[in-house]
Amino acid sequence: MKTRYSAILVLSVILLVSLSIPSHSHVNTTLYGQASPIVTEQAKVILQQGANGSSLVYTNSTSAFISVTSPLDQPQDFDDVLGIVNQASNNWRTSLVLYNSSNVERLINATIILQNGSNNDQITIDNGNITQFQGQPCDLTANATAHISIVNLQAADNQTTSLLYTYLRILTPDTSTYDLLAITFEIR
Amino acid sequence: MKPRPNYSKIIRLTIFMSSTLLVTLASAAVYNYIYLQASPLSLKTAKVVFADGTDAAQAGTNVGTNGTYVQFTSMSGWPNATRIYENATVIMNSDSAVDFTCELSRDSWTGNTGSIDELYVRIYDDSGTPQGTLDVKAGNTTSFTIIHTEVWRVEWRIKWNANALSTDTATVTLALRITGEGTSE
Repeated sequence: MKTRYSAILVLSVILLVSLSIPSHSHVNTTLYGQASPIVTEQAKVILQQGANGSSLVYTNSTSAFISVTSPLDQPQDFDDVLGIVNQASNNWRTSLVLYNSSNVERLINATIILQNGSNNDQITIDNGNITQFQGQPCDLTANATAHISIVNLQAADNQTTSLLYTYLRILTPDTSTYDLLAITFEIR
Repeated sequence: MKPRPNYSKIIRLTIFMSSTLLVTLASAAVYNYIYLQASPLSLKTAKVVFADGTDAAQAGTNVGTNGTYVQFTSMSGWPNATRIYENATVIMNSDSAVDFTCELSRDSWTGNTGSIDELYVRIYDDSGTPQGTLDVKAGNTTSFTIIHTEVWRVEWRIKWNANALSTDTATVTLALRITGEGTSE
């Protein structure tokens, strides 16, 4: 009987002690941030079909698919495979960024350039290796049109297809605010 | 001869008294007051606060008094393109010694949210390393520990889908919960 009372007493003490320990003892402070409103607006820079190759510009003109057939025997240039039109009265800084690719090993040479009055190398493939993933930003002035070209293109075979997944980066000058337009290059 | 008790009367009286007692108890609750006092309730300067980022002008960043609230009034995007504000605001830990654990979560999310394909808020530390990503659409939560004296930038990444209309708008409110601030003062 004495043992039983002792056990009950011990259990009671444990219960009382455990009840006194707070289950949430942290002090929290909550700050709030709100984005209101987030709006959609008409694109100020759009893509348009180029004069060479085969380009498909999608709805809203903010993404495109470019297809060219690579020569085997000697390098060839494909000027103006896609146009970049600035519809706004302000300037931008543009560049191309390669974020994914497939089967580039078959490409002996390829250089994708941005032409805005001068040629700016953006993405370079040399002997099946990507040697440049991103180019220096170049100016896209108010209401001007720049062009994307593929130069020095040559492949080792014509049995397969290479794909280059890129973003056209359109930067507001002197900021780190930019838009990314998806452009896919198919090299047959 | 001893008079016989009137049991019927006693029972009726008992029932009446019991009913009276019940009515009294039901209509007159008994209260006990115990008191809690917080004295003084003082105002402290927040250690973890918001401040303008380098893209504040583009994002329409408005930091509230004391840096404990921030609003972005100019965020936008083009259909089927991704808009990135790399430095819309910064989070500063002004404490000289204490690192604070923070939890960023979505508090509310309204408007034409179905027209937004992606909305990510990323926290980058002093060295440019991502320390947390909040997927606003998914409504998840991200945690990070901001180091004392450091200033971390907050990036917003928004992608409206191809079918978004020019009239589409959305509003998102995020909560940043800071654990431990105020405990060592």
